[in-house]
Amino acid sequence: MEDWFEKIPIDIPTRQPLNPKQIRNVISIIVVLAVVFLIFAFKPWFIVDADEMGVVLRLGKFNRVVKPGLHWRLPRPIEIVYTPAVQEVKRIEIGFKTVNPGPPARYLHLPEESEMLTGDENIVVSEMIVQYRITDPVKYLFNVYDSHSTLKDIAEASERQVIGDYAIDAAWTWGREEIEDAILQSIQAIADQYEIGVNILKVQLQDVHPPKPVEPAFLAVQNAREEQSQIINEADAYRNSEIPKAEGDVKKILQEAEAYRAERIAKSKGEVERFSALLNEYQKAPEVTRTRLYLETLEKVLAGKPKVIIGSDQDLFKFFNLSPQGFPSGFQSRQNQEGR
Amino acid sequence: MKKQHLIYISVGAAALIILILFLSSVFIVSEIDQAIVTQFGRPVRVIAGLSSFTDKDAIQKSVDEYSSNSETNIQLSYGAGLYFKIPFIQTVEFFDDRILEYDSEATQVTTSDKKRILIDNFARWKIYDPLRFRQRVTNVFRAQSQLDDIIYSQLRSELGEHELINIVRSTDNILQDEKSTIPEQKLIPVKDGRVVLMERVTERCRKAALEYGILIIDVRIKRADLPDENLQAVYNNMRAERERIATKYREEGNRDSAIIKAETDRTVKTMKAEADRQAQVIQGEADAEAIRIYANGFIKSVTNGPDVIIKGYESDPVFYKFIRSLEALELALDEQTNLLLDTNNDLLRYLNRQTPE
Repeated sequence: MEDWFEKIPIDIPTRQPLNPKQIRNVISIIVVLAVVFLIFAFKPWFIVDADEMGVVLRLGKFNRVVKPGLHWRLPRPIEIVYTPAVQEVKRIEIGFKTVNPGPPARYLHLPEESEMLTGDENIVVSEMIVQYRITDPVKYLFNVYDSHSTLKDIAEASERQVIGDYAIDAAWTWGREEIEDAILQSIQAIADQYEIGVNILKVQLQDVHPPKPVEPAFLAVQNAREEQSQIINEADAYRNSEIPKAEGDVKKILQEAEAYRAERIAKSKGEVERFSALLNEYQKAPEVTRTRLYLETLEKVLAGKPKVIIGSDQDLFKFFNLSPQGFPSGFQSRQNQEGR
Repeated sequence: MKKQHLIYISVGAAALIILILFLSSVFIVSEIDQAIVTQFGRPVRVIAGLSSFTDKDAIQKSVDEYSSNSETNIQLSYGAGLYFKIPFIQTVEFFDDRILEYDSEATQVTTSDKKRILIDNFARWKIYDPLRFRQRVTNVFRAQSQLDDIIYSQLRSELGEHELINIVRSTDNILQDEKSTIPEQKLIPVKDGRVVLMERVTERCRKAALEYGILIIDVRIKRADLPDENLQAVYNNMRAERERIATKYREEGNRDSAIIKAETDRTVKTMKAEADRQAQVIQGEADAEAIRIYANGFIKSVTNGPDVIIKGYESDPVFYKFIRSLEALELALDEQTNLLLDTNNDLLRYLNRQTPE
C-alpha cells in the first residue's frame, strides 16, 4: 500500500513535471466533463407533448402542473414528472377486443362479457364502447390504482345494471339511446365517487342482438310483424278501392232519382199541357169536340181489325155467353150517354 | 505528503458516511403512498394519506389506542413529503394510498326463488388506517383474502334473500314501458332492486372491514349470469315468448284487417242505403209533384211573354174521364182483338139509318 502511494509523487515529477497552470487546466476539463455527465445523468429538463400535461411531484408532494413544452426540473429523486395524455380520447371496449385495428379491422368477441340478463329475464348480447378523457390529471394519477381497468369494471357493472332495467325488445330498439345515456350517467357518477378525474364522453352500444341459439325465433317475430303490416296494407287497399266505388254507386243512384224526377215532371207537364189544350178546345165547342173525339177514336180502334157486325139482336150475346155488362162499365155507360 | 493523503482519504470517507447517514435518515412519501416507521418492528410513526376519504378522527383514535396499549408515543402526520427517521434503527414500510382493486372469482349464488346465478363482483377499497392495516392484515396481498371472506359471505346472505328478478332489476322502469311485450306474470314490481341491495351489501361489508383498517368504497356486481345448465331453460322460455309475440302480431294483423274490411263494408252499405233513401225521397217528391201537376196544372213560364196557366185534370174531371177512356180504348184494342159489334152504337147506328136523330 505504502509503496503504491510513494510511487505516484515520484513518477510524475520524473516523467514530466506539471506546472500549476497545467494542473488547473486538467482539473477544469475534468470538472466540465463531470458537470456534463451529471447534467445528462440527472436530466434537469423534460418535454411535455402537445396532447399531454406535466404533473410534477417535489419530494413526493404534488407541486405543479405544466402545459406542453420544454420545462426545467430538479434531478430525479427530488422531482418526479408524470405526463398523462389529457387530450387523448381513451377507449374501453366491452364484449369484444380489437385484435388488429386494420383495415380490415379484426375483433375478438368475448361472450362472457357481452351476454347479460335483461329485466324480463331474457338474455341479450351487447357490445359496448366507452370513451373518456382525463379532466383532472392529478386525480387520475394519484387517486386510483389502475384508473383504466377501474373504469372498465365500472362500465361493465353499469351496463348490466342499466340493461337489467329494460326489456329485451327495448334494448335494441326504442330504449337504446335511453340505455346509453343511463349507462353514461352511471359510469360518470361512480367515477366521480372514486375521484378518478375523468369525463365520460360517450357510451355506445355497438351491436345488440339475441343469443345465437334463439335467433331464429326472433327472426320469426320479425316475419310476423311484416306479415301483420302486409295484411293490414291489403285491408287498406280494399278500403281504398271499395269506398270510391261506393261513392260512384251513390252518385249513380242519386242521378237516377233526379232523372226520374225530371222525367216524371216533364211527362206530367206534357200530359197536362195536352189535356189543357184539348180542354180549351172542348170548352169552345163541347158537343162537337166530344163527338169528334169519340168518333175518331172508334175509327182508329175499329180500323183493320176483324169484326163481326150484327143487328141489334140481343140473343147473339147470349149465344156467345157474353153480356153487354162485359164491357167496361164506364165505357158502356158513357157510350149510352153519348148515344142518346 | 503522506499525512496530507491520509487527510484527503479520511475527509472523503467521512463525507461518504455522512451521505449514507443522511440518505438513510430521510425518505420520501409520495402522493400515492402512506408509510409506517418502525423501530425494531414496533411502530413509532404513522404517515397517513390525505384524501377526501381520510377520517382523521378515526386514525387519531386508533393511534391513541395503540400508544396507550404499548406505552409508546406514536407520531402521526398526514400527506406526502420528505420525512426523517433514525438511520439503521428505524425502517419504513410503505402502503398504497390509492383506491385499490378487488376482484373475486365468479361464484354461484342461489336466490330465494331457487334460481342459481353466477355472480362476478368487484369492490374498490383503500387503506384508510395504515397502522391498523399493518397490524391486522400486514399487506395488500393478504387483504385480498380478507376481503374475500367479508364480501363473499355478505353478498351470499343478502342475495339469497331475494328473487332473481330483484337482483337483475334496479327499478320498476320496465313496468312503465308501454311498448313492451312482456307477459303480465313477469311484470312484478321489484322489491329494493340491485342498486339498493348492493348499497346494503356495501354498507355491511364496510362495517365489517373497518376493523382491518380497510375502507370499502363500494361493492358492485360486475356480472350476474345464469350458469350454463340453466341457459337452455332460459332459451326455451325466450323461444316460447317469441312465438307468443309472433302469434300476437299475426292475430293483431288479422283482427285489424277484419276490422278495416268490416268497417269498409259497413260504410259502403250505409252509403248505398242513404243514397237509396234519398232517391226514394226524390222519387216521392217527384211523384207528389207529378200528381199535383196532373190534378191542378201548373204555371208555364214562357220566354218573351206572359206566363201561361196550364189547367190540370181537376179543372174538368168528366172531360178527363172521357178522353182518358178513349185513350185506354185505343190501347186496349190491339191487332189481335176480334170485335163483335151490334149496330146499337153511335158509329154503327148509321149503318141502318140515314138521318141524324
